[in-house]
Amino acid sequence: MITSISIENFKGIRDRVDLTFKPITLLFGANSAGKSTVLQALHYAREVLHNHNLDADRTATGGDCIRLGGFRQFVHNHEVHRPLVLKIGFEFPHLLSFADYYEESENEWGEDSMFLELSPHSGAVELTIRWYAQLGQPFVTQYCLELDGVYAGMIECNPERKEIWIKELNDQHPLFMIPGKTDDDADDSAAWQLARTLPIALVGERDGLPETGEPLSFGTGALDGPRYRDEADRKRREAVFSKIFLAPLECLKWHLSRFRFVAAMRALPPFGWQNSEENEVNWADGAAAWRHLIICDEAFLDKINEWLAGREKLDTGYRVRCRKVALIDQASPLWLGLTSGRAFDEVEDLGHQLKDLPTATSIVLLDERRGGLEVAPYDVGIGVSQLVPILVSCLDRVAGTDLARTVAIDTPELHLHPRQVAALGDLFIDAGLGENKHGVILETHSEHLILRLQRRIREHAKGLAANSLAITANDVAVYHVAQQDGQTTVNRIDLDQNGDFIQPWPDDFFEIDFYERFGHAD
Amino acid sequence: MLTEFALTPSVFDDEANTDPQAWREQIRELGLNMFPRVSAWPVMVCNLFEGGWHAIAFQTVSRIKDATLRTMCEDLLRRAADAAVRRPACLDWPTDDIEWAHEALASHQIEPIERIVAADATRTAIAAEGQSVRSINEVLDGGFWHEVSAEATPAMRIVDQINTLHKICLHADFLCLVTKDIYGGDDDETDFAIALLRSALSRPAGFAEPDIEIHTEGPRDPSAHDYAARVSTLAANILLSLGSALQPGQQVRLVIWPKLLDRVLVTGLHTQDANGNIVRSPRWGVAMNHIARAGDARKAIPPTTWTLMKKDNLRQRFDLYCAPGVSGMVHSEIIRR
Repeated sequence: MITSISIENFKGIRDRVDLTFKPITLLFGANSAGKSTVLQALHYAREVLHNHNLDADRTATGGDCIRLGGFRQFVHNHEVHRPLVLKIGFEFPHLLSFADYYEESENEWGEDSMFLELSPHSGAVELTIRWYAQLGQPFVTQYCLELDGVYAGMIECNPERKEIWIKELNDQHPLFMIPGKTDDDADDSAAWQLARTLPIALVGERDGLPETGEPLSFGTGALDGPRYRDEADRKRREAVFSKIFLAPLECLKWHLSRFRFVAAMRALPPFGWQNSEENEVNWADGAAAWRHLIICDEAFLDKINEWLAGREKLDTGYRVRCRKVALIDQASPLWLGLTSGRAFDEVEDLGHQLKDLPTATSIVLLDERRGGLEVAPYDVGIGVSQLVPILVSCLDRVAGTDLARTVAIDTPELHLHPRQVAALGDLFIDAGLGENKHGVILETHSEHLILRLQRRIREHAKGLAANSLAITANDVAVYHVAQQDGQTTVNRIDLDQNGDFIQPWPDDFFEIDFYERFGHAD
Repeated sequence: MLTEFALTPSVFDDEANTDPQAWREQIRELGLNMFPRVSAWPVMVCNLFEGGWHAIAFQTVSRIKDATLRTMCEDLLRRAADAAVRRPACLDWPTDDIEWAHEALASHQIEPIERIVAADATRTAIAAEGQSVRSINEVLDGGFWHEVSAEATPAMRIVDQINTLHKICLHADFLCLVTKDIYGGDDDETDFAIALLRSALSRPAGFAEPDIEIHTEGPRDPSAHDYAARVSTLAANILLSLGSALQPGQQVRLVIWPKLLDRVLVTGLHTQDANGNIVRSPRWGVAMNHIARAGDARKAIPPTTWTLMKKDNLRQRFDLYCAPGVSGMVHSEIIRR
């Protein structure tokens, strides 16, 4: 799971802000305060890590719902001299162990074999991105790595001089210490031996963010040559540094590839929509969720319906169903035979022909209050259809915790009745703390949502909550995003063990209804 | 500056308030004046009988038949929870509204409660016992709200200023006094700090002892070679002065900052985080324009103005001085007797 993000000089954020993500993270704040900036930083990070797209405008995860406008647009105040800093913390999933990367070297590893066994639990990648006017584009000028919360090393780049160096390795990092050896031995440890070869120039890279997939490649110039005993020594060190610096990037890329975003403006399937082919789909606008219902298994559909129609859940009165239809060409003999009524007598092998017809599938809703009447998504209240992308994103079945993903939802309460908004709180508890163990990030204005989470924390503390709704204050992070002195600030508001807020909310936040209700008519 | 309210359950009882129109106006008046939008909330709400009052009040509210009034009363009680202070139990568990009024009066005898409010019937029933219980009908009179304000103008005398802070000294679980003029001398604000310590540490039985921090500014020129020695001397002077205000077993934390620009009192209550650890929850903050010194009482200095901080400001000051993990101070030490 992605566990934290730090942002500096990105959009409205100037001074560094740090956010820790919990199973459920809520971002509150006024319009234009900068809530979306946090999520946009994740979209941008994915573009940077996956596509090296430092000057990103459209992003893969944001689809048509988010446009960043390029580096000169999103760097704070459009001041291109500012370095943009993104630091993302993450957990190493069990399925993708650190040890799996870059160990195909055929050389003897000797004492360096300890690097094969590295097994950090968490990492953080910090990238500094700067605009170079002469070169007309931004570059990653620094990549700092943390493992298990301790600084591990750094790669630096000077794009104008076309120099990229592994600059530092923290040879005092606890992970690099050989078990059983004391600090006194540290100055001849394998990490110390490695660190004293630095800086080492890298070749074949675009900037300070090395490409993953292939091991790092060291320069072979006069400056670099004497640092190695022989070619085998150089290859071995390339493999070691690759493991240290590239494996965390691989892991972060994996997490970001699984990042799923559902935007506030969620579209309905178009009139007459039927899915008959592999369409280019997008999670941001909700289209992928509708398609997912077509390709998913029955068990998943049941789970969606349990939430959509369950009395103790969203209780919308609707269920979803896949409706499969056969497509017949109206010029075909089969169609003509069927419409004339002769097909049953004249068409040979009618059953097989019908079975072989191409099919298309659509999603319909069954109105339970009208005896299961079949209706199209655009026939029902807009709120019901808005729920589908949220449900699919949160409930998408994954096997075990290792495949958990970060799911970000903009304004989940959109178009919903307050009772259903509150029930969404239970859905997010299920998504974040149930079998999926997703990290759910919510950009919201809803007091009903936080009230439900507070209630469940209180009930759990008193032993009154059902197991499926067990949640503690440690599982929730609440942030208030605000504009102050021309920049975005982020304040965390903690919950105590009974779900009450420890720090006060900013003035009259969540009290609007009180003052509206108590205000005099005059 | 802070006015303590005790509302007996009958305030929220639709059988005790038979004119819905009038009752609605009274509830509205309570809400708007106790929890104003434009300023910090100038009230504390007594959670009588060790916190038992709030649950009983909520039960009473849940029985209100008029949906609008029920919602208003729920809203009022929710705000009251955010302004609640726990009072120890004085009598047996109250079983009716008159007994709640008696509980409030008994608590009032230990430490004054400025406004005890009950339904008119309760007020009439115990009228013979004094005028301390007010009828809810009175909340519509302007005089009822006299001196219920987030602002105070105490005279420049230590005793008056400490009285202004008395409610906080009585109820806060932690108090952080932040002012740059405490040096441990007799011509600075040390006497005020001592008086504050004495007030906060001499609570009646049943009121828990608070954590107290005194924050002041260190000597000038932190880059000077003898800075550490001068900080130690300053700390020793303050320790000597503040220590005299402490009883055996009592303690106060002294924090010295390189520079201070604020003169504030940041206070609040303790709560427990998810792991059961005691944590601070900021509740009341007072911005103090001037703090009296011992000699000021003999001078003709006009009163100063103190203001309860709004939540934004309180949070900022709390994060700056009192939150866990704050850094930047040059000295921190626990002073014990």
